[in-house]
Amino acid sequence: MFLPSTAWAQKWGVGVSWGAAMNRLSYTTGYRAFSEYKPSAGVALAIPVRYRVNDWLAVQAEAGYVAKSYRFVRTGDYDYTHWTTQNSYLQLPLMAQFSFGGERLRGFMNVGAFGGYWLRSRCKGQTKEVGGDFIYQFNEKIPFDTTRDNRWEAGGVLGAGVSYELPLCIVTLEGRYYRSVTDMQKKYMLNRAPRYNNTAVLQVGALFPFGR
Amino acid sequence: MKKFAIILMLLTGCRAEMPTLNAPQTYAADYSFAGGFEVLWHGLNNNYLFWSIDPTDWDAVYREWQPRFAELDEWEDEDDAIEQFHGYLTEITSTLVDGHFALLLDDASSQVLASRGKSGVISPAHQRITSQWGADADTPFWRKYPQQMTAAWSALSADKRLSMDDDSGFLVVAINIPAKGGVIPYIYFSGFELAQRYEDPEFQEVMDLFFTSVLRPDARGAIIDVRGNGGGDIQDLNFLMGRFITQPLTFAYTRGKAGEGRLDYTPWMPFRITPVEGENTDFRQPVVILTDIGSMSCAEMTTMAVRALPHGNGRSIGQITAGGQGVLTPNTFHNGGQFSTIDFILGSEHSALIKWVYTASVMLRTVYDGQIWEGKGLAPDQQVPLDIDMLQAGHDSQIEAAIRYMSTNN
Repeated sequence: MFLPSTAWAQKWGVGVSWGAAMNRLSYTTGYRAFSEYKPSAGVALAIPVRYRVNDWLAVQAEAGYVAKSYRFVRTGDYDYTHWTTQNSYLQLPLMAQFSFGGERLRGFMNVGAFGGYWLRSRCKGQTKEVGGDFIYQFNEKIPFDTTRDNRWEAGGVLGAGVSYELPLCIVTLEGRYYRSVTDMQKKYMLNRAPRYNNTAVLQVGALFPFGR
Repeated sequence: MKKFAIILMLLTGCRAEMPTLNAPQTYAADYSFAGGFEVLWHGLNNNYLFWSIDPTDWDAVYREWQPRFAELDEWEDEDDAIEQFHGYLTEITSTLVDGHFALLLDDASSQVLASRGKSGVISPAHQRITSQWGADADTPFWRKYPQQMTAAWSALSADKRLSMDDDSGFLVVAINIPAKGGVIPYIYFSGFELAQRYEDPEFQEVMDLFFTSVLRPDARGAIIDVRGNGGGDIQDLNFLMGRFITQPLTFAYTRGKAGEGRLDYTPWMPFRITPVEGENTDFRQPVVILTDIGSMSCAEMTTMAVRALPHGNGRSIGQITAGGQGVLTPNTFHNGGQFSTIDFILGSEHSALIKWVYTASVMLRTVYDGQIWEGKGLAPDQQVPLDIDMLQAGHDSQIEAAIRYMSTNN
C-alpha cells in the first residue's frame, strides 16, 4: 500500500456531500389487485467528519438529510390513482472507511451502521373523487400518528467510491446503500406488515483535511 | 470481529418476517367455526376503515376469542354450535362503529338460526338503534302511521303529487306548501333511487313538481324530508342537491385505505356536489332537511350537503340520524371495505360460515364542523321530536317546525 499524500495524512477532515437518493419500500400489497409500490427519487445532503486511524483505515460520521420516498400506483382500470409519499429523514451513519490506491486517486469502502429520525412526510398524487369523475390532485403534509408511526430508524450502511486529492480538499464520488432494520410502524396491531426503507445514494463530496 | 458481525447483520438480516396477508376467503376453506372467525378477524384487520375512531380492541378480540371459536368445532350438536357462533360474532362486533357494518351468515346457518328465532344477519348498528329507540325504530314513520301521515300531508296543501311503488314499497311525495308571498316546495322520498326512477313518468311528475317549484321566484324555501330514509345511490346527491347550487359544492371530505395497516389512510379529499346545469339556481332561501334515527347513509350525506350550502341557508330539523355515513364500493375500488367469502368459481354453496361482510370503503368528515360522525349520527340544528298525539290528529310536528322556521327566516 502506498503512503498517503499530504491531505490523506492529516488526521481530521470535514466537508460536505450531496447527491441523489432512490428509495424502495420493502412492503407487501398482500392480495390487492392492481396495486404496486415503486421506488422514488429524492435528494441527500450531509456533512461528513472523518478521523484517520492509519494509512488505510478511517472512521467517518456523516450527519445529513436524506429523502426516503416511495410511490404507490394503481394499475388497470384504477390507473387514475397514484401518489408519492415523500419522507424526509435526518440520519447519522457511523462508518469504518477502508482506503486503498495511489497518492492522489484512491478507492475506498465504507461499512457501518446508521441511526435516523423521520422528520416529515408529504403525500403528492391524485385519485378520483368518490362517486364522480373529477380527478382530485393533492400535495399535502401528512401528520404523524403517534400510535402508528415509528419515527426512529436504524440500519446498516455499505458504500464504495473513489477520491481524488486536490490542493485544498479531497473530492469524492460514492455509491452508498442504506438498509433499515426498523419498521416504520410501531407494534400497534397483530399481523402487521412491516415497512422498511432501502435507500441507494449516489453522492459527490468535498472533504477538507486538517490536523496532524 | 464481533463489530463486523453486527454490521453484517444490520446489512443482511434483523428484519421482521413479512406476514402472509391472505384474502379473507382463504381462511374459510375448511368450513370450520375457527375458520369463520379467521375470515372475519383477518378481513376486518386489513379492510375495516374506522379503526382510527373505533373503541374495539381488535388484537384483544383475537387473543381472547380465537380459542373460544375453535372450541365450537368440538361441539357435538352442530346447530347448537351455530347458534353459539352467532352469539360470539354478535358480541365481538357489538362495538364496531361502522353504521353499515353487517355480517351475513351462510344460507345453511341462517336456516338453523331462523328455526331458533334469530337472524342470519348481524348488524351492531341495528342492535344499538333498536335497543335505544325501540324495536321498530328503523321502520319508516309513514309505514308505522300510514293513514295519519297521508292526512298530515294532505292537510299541507291540495297541490300535492304522490307516487307509490307497491312492489318495492318505494314512496315519493311532493307538495307545494302555501307560504306568505309564495310556496315552500316539500319532498319526501323513502330511498335514494331518484335518478334511476326518474324514467318512470308517474315518478317524474312528482319529482318535477318539486324541481320546478325550487326554481320559482316565489319559492320561500324548501323542505327535504329524509326521515326513515336508509340511503341508496350516491349519484342522487347531484340529482337532488345539484338543483340548489351554481358552483360545485364541497360538502364533506372522504378518505379510504392506503395500505394494509389499520391506520393507513389516504389524505382527506373533497366530496362534491355538482350543479344540474339548466335546472339549477343559486338558492338563497332557507333549506330545511328533516331527519330522524331512520335517516342513514345517503340521507346523512344529503344532510351534510344541506348544512354546507354556500349561503349558510341550510338547517336540519328533527332528530339525530343513524350514524352510517360511509360509502360502500366493491373492495377493489379503494382496497378496503366490504368483502365476500363466496367462491365465485364453485358457487355460494362453497362459501364459508360467514359469506359476506358488509362494511364501508370510504369514511366521511363533515365540512360544517370538521368531525367524523360515523357511529354517532348527525345531531339536528333544531331538535324536534315527532309528536305522536299531533300526528294522530293529522299534523306532523316536524314538518310544522320547518314551516315555522321558514316563516321566521324570510
